[in-house]
Amino acid sequence: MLHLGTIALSALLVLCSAAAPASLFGEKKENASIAYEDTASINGTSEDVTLPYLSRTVISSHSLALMYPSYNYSPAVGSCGCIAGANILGFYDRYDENLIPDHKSGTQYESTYLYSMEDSAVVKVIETLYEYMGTEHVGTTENEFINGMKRYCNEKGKTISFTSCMSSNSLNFLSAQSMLKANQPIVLFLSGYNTADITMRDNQDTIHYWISEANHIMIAFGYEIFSYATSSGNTRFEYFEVAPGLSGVIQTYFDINYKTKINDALAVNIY
Amino acid sequence: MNIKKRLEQEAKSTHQKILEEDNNCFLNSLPTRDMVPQKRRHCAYHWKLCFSGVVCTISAMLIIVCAVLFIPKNSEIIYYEQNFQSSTSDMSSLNTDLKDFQIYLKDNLAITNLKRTIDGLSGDLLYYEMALQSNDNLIRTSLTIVCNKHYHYEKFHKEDESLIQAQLTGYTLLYSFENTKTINAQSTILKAVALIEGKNETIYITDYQEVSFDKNGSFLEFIQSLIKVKE
Repeated sequence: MLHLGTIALSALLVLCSAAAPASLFGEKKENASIAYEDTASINGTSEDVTLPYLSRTVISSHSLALMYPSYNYSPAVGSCGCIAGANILGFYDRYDENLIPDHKSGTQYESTYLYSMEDSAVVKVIETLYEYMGTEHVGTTENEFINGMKRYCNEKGKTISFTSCMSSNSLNFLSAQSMLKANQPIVLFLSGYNTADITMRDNQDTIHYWISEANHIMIAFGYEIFSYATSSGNTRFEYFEVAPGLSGVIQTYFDINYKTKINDALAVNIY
Repeated sequence: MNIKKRLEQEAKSTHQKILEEDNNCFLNSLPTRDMVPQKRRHCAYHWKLCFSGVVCTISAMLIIVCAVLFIPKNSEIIYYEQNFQSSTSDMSSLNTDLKDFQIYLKDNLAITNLKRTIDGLSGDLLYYEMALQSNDNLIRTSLTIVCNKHYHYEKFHKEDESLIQAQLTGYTLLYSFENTKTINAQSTILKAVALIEGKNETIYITDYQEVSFDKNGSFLEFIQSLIKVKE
């Protein structure tokens, strides 16, 4: 009897490892081969969404800084990976100035922080990461991003760790929120992305989206959730506050539910 | 027979008389053979002249109409983004290339990532991009200056009804305040976009952010001190 049970359990385990994880690994493998390459936000389209409302409420929000690092120097095409990596290093440079030598990370402002924009020291870091991530015309894969960041941090005598904010191949927004509250920025690997600027008016907001189908990496330094009471019910908008790594945009929102596919989201810690 | 002959002779003489009467007056009064076709030819010539005149006028009008309708479209230059080439630039090059405006950098401003973009095929200058930050980090902004009227910058929502008009010294500024975020009871982060249209250039303030203690901040003063009309 016990023998039969063992055989049945083994068979079940074999089946499970052959079926469910196969799709999971398949997805992982597929994501791992995606080269993230957008830097100039070209070939995109703009869309305006007008939202008449009775009331607007901020349900929850958190920012790692009032003005966070938002670099966009691009040494060549397909540089979004190394720009995103530099934004992470710029964030942690506040705690260890050795991460970006000869760069003033920013200034304290009341209980928050105002990060500096890029300078020649940041440009040097982006160029180094471009090399370390093996970025070429095809961009950077997720593994190349991780390995490039590890190499850079190791050379500075630091350790870098990545924590997934995904569940069943989808973003776990609650998990992402708690990682942000733990002062860890999140690197987003996207197939198709948006940036969203909101013109807020009494009783009517307009969301200006810039939408691209490109594969892109950007960094979330905060989140904000809005709820709108409208005549036809309640609508909820969930945003990350991002450094998009695009020229012409300093810091903006990314609507996690609008015309995007989040392939992976990793909270980053450097210590 | 005699009568017949006589009648014939009389007829001949009468005929001759008529012809020669009053110094050949009758004959002179008759139109000659040559005269009729000459007049006709003259009329035909005039008619042809008029006709070709009308045809020419109509053709000219048609050509003008076609030119007005079609030539601007055919001569419109299209730049393809895959041919764009960007390179690091400096303030001197920027201000040399600008015809309408002059960018003034005060000591309290740091400039980052000033890029000059051209069309790689034609070598035509398209636009400049730059980011600026105040030394106290309270203001930062991003500018795109389009120097080529054939290049259409699509990332700016120009038709936005919420754009407000402000008359600054030498130019009109169209701007809009975007989402603001309250940090604490006193200060907010103000976000704005704006544009200034010149004859040869258009300046887009694609992102302006300011930590401010009042709802309008110093946006207009900042723009006025940064951008001036070229003399």
